[in-house]
Amino acid sequence: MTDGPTRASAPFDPTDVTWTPVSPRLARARLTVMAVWLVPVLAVLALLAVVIPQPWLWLPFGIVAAFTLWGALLVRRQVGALAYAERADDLLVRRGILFRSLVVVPYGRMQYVDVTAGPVARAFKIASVQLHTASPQTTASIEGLPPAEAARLRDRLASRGEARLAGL
Amino acid sequence: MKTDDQVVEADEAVPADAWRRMHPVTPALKGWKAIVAVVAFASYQFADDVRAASDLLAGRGWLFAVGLVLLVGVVGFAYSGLAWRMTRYAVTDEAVHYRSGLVFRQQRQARLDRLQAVDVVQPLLARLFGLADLRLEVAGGSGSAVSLAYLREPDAQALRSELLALAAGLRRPTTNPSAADAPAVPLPGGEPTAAVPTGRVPGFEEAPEREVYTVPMSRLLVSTLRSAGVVGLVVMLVAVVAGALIAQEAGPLFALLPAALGFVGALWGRVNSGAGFRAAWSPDGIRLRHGLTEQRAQTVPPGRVQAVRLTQSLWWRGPDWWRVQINVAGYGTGDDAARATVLHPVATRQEAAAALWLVLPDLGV
Repeated sequence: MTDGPTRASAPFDPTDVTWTPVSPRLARARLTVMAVWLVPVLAVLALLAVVIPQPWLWLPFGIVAAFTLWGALLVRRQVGALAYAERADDLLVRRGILFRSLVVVPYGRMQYVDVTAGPVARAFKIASVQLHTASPQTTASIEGLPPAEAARLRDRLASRGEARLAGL
Repeated sequence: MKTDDQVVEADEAVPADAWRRMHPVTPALKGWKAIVAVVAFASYQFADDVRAASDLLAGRGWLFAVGLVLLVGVVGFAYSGLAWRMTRYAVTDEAVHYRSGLVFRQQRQARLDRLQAVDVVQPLLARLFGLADLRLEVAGGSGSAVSLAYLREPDAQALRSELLALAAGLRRPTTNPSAADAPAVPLPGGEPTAAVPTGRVPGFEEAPEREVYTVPMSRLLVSTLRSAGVVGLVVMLVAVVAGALIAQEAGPLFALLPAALGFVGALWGRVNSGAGFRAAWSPDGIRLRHGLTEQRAQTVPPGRVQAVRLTQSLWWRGPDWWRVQINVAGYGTGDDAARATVLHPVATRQEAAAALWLVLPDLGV
């Protein structure tokens, strides 16, 4: 009762772990993807508003621009909130600020590991590691890892999975 | 200085000369899919309006159509060729490592002690070339398999035996250095030779097997005709023909055509996947072989079957036939999985008991 603010965040913040944040380059990668989609839309809307002299035509442009700006700000915060931690028996992945989620996957339940990198991710020198369990829904994925860290995590997860086999 | 791609690609667990490529004919077999997709899309678009299509193809139109198909074909084959260059795999004592992707790079690492099933699948085209797709099923929904397509068929068989033996806990003889029995040229630097060399692990012979049951073609055909689908189709046909005769209109008959085609397709799928069904027991696990155009040889190691299901439709009660299906964590859901999870397409009571015995020897049936 005495420590109100920390109590609220306690389920997402186990005390015995040290969180490793993902690379801030992930924010730039996501912003790039966003720009690729939204800049053409904004350009078309602006062109429309300039060509047709109707003041209300600036409204759609303004709305999309506002959402873009908000999204851009959000991306930075979201990437900042994305973190993972390796405990002795399980991997923790934490994400979100407004809508928080914490995924805990025991190493022994791991079925296979994927490492993926798309063209934008490769341009920004990041990769993502996915840990698959037997359930199609539960997938702990960590985006925005530097290549060396992705390779290290891949090998580490695989070797820990071997040491702590359980179930299926 | 290593580039970042090389940093991620590097893997200490895998010796550099353990990486293998698929068979070089692979792009030729996969490139067709682009053409098939375009033709299928076009025929779907124009299925409703044949006249519009014939108008389009009149005059110079057909030149354009052929050119488009050729262009798509060239792009498809070129992409398949490049994708083939990027795809490789390695088998170590612990895991199977798989790398692929031209634009979107992917690495997959599946531990052999997590192996749920090993399938050797031969689609018709691949069979003509003597190639096969080796699928390692790992648990985890659809898309969880490591598909090694395509390998030479004997190599796929040898690799399957090796994987099953390694998954069962056997180890390669330590006295045999990997270079001695794997004369493939290492991948980095220069033009590597492709494909797995034959007999790369002489230590792993294919486990002996004992045939438990086969399904005669006649019974499969009769059982398919007695299925609910055929009965429904006949009832529907009779109803629509009667309706058309009474109303003196042929319109409804054409409306029925897509549904009838769908039914026939489903029935053909059943006969096609169940043809030549053979089940055998081996120390490796349950062996299932079936398929008419696409042949599939499945091996499910012991203890990997999670559930068994026996079903009997209304029209099968007379001859007392049963359909036996299994649940394996590696096979996801969907069309392909429905084909892969059949333990017996149409079993008599004794055969159903034998099928149950395959999965659960101590059930007492």
